[in-house]
Amino acid sequence: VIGSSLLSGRRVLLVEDDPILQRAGEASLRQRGLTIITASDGAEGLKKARDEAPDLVLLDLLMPLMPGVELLRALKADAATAGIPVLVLSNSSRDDDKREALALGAAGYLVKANISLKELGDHVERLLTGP
Amino acid sequence: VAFNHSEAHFRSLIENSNDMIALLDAQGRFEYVSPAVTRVLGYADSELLGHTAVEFVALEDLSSVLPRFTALLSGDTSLTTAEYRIRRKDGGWCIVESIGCLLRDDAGGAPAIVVNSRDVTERKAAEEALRQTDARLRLLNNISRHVKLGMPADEVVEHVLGEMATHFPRYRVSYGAADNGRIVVRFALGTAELPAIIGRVIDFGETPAILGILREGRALTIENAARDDRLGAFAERLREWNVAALMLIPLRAGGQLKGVLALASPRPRTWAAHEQTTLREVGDYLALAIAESEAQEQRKRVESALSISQQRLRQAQKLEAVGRLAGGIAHDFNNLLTAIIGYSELLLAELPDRDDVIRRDVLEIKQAGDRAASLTRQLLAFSRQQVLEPQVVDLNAIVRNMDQLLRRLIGEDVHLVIDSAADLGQTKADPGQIEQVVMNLALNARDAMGDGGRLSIRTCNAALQADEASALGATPGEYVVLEVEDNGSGMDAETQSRIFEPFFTTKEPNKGTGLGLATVYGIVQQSHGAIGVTSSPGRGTTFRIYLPRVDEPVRPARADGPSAPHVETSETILIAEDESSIRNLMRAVLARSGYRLIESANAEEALERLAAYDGSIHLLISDVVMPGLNGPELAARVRQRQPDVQVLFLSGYADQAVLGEQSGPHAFLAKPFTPAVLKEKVRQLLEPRRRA
Repeated sequence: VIGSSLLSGRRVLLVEDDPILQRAGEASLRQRGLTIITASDGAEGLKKARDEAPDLVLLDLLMPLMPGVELLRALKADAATAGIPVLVLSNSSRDDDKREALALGAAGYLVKANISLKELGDHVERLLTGP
Repeated sequence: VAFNHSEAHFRSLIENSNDMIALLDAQGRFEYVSPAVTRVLGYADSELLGHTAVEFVALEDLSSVLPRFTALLSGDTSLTTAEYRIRRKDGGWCIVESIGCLLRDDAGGAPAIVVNSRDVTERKAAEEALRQTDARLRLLNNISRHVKLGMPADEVVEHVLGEMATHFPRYRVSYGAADNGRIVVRFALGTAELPAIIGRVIDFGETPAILGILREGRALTIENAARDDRLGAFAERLREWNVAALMLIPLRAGGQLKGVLALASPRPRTWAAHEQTTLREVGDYLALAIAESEAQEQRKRVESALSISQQRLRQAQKLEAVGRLAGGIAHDFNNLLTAIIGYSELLLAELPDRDDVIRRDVLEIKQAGDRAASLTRQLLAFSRQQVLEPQVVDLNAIVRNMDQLLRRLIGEDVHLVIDSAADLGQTKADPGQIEQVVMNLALNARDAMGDGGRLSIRTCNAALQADEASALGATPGEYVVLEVEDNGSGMDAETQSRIFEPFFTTKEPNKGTGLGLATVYGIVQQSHGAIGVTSSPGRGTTFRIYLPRVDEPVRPARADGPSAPHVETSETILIAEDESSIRNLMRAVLARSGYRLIESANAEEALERLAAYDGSIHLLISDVVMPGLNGPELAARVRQRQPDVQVLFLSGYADQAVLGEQSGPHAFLAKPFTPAVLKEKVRQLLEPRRRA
């Protein structure tokens, strides 16, 4: 395990419906010493965010049951979860989508076509350890 | 030794290969990377070895890469290929094509995977460029196949924009025509995200800098309208139209800005070089096609104008010939009618007994002569040989006076109804011209009622309000109206739109000149009036002539009756007239009034008689057109001998043209004239001398 001690014990909720990405993300982040909770759709994501109170939510936008944007809105509307930083993972590079997510309170907006797993991990790490 | 030798060989092969070769362990971590890997991706060995390979792959591509990795490990396949993007140290992406195969450890250790990758970034870029060039050529090919030479400009634009919309499905393509520094959007196709803009106007007068760019033939490329400080007021327009990014290509032909071709996006974007090239190429083609189409239209216009003007020339020549003939006949008729009417009057003066049978017969002759004179006058008006003056007229009187003539013109199958407003106001117009208006309208109405019908002529007052007046092209105010209505065949809108064009006629060839309504239009315009037309096929036609109302009384027509008292005189009058009947009549009239007469049949004879005469001549009465010297020339000779002589020219209307500036002071008496008018005229001319 190459994880930084700063990260050990920190818990990240990964809400991603693509099982491959979910597993790859989970493995990659776990290597950094993080504890990963996974959810495969928006509804599950919302439930786990409330139940588990993670330190960070990694959120795919295109998902069944509850679109990522709705989940984001729900998280930010609920005082219990509003403080959890949410990093959005999106397939869309449209400015409008990015603006919308940031306006809803997302802590960051990453486009899947333009980021590697390593860079995703770096972002997460910065968010959890940053000022 | 053999093995070692062989391993050195293999190592050399691997390390000198341009392909990137890597060995991954079962967890996907780099165990070995060839020098090509560090060379292409830019990482040091230490940055890769021990790290998971998929960490460097684009997240988007993991879904296709990872299953292949798992398939190799599980033994489902021994060889797999993939294309994906991998992050370079410098932050860029490297597109690679990889072949992976499983390497089993015969000793029972963990299996490993050999990945052989090739950098295809440049090849991909070249492929993309090729694809774009191919698409561009296909677009230009489609355009040139559909756009035919000489096609109307609108069709050209429509075709080109249709192809453009297919080529650029995510943008809106539009075309605007240049119009005095403004651009009027004429066509727009494409993305429904943008509002309709056809017919909208971009006024580059607000932003001369942009107009300058376009006039110089340069393209205007806007990546983000909200952050572009060149745009000025144009930015506001773009915001209204929800356009964030725009490419504007000027369409120029012959150094002139013909219009613009535009590509618009609702979102900011950096326009790719190939998009600019495509737009520029299509723009050049479009400009050329529009210029060609305009040239073609211009050629057609010139040809058609030439053919029309040739037709008009033929018509005008025919009309002039007819006019000359009519004028000539009328001239001779007027001489004859002067004699007929004049002698009738002299006879009537000799026959005071009202119940005399002979007197009644002579009266008939005179009345027939009057009617003939009236017809001759109409004929001359028709051939436009009259120079007339506007005066205050009563429309009702004009219509009333034409009653007889109109009934004769329209024939027995058409019922004429005249309905005059009793309180009708006056107007200022040339009565002869107004008569012509009535006659032309009546003739048209008759021709529209081939099987007979009803012709109504009405007069009334009208006040035109602003909207009515503007619909008629007149100024608001008080008018008197002459309405001519028939219940004949009527006209469709197409015909109505052309009826006032000179030489436009719906009548058979040689049946109409096509000038009737054109003349009506001209006369009404000249009289500051307006014309309203209502008509529909099968429902008849109504013309309304609006003439400005004036508040002046009608001047009484010059009295034809014998107004001057009979006075004994002793003045000498020299007469030159080649028509003996007129000469004789003048002698009969003037001798009875006591004048001394010297008669001659032409100018030469008149000069001879004058030379032989000792006394002074008080008045020269001369025909204008005579064989030999004409009237004005004779008058000049007589004036040389006797400068104070009065001159009275007699003329049929056709002679008026001869009277120019050089004719000296003179009075004028039109044929046919009555004895009373002749006497009065002579008296007026000689009286000042007598008073003096």
